[in-house]
Amino acid sequence: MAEELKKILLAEDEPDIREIETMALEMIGPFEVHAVDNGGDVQAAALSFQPQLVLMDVMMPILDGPGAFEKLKADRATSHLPVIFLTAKAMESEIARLLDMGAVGVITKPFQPATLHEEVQALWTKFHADKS
Amino acid sequence: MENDSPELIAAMRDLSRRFAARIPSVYEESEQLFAKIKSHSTGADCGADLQDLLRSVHSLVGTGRQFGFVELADVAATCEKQVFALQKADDDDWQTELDLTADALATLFAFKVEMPE
Repeated sequence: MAEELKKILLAEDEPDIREIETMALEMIGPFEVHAVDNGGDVQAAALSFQPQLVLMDVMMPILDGPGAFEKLKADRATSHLPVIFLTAKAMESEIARLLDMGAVGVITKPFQPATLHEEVQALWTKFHADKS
Repeated sequence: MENDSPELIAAMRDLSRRFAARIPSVYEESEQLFAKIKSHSTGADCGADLQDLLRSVHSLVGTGRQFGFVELADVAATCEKQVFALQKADDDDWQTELDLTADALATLFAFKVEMPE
């Protein structure tokens, strides 16, 4: 059985989207969310906040989502973290590329704020089921 | 949105208005970036500006769709594809793609969004 999901690191550069994502996850989850606004801050935030899961946008300044994911994977302290991407690019090839990289799942925008926590929770459960 | 909490519904409404109010500044930023890009004869010297322009236009696609500005998001998505084509253009195609991007941006900037109630 998967451990209870409590702490999520969110990386999203769009302030309005970041706010609604944070609100949806904190209010309804309820999860503890730490948010950063660019991919370059993901690694440091993962080390300090110690999340159980990372939810991040694909296109971000300084370092994009896939680049930030590669940095997480390259560090033994963060390589275990499951990553879910959020992307407006709902093209199948894009989703396949992200999954091939090792992402646990891809949530496409627009998302429903009221059910975002359910989508994240379902992918968290699937991640643990696939591991065992 | 029947499962949404009142707080979420109110937040979505406020953020939607905030996004709509921010659109002119995104247009302006994109226009300034494109002016800088146009001053180069190839894309090799303006990679960072091209990436910033792509991200600026992309923000209208993602955030626009999220807050229900579907028509704006569609126009911005067409423009985003063109900026991407410009980013990938080789020297021979640069001027052609630059002209097409100017047209796509003009169409985007002409798109007016009404402030949500």
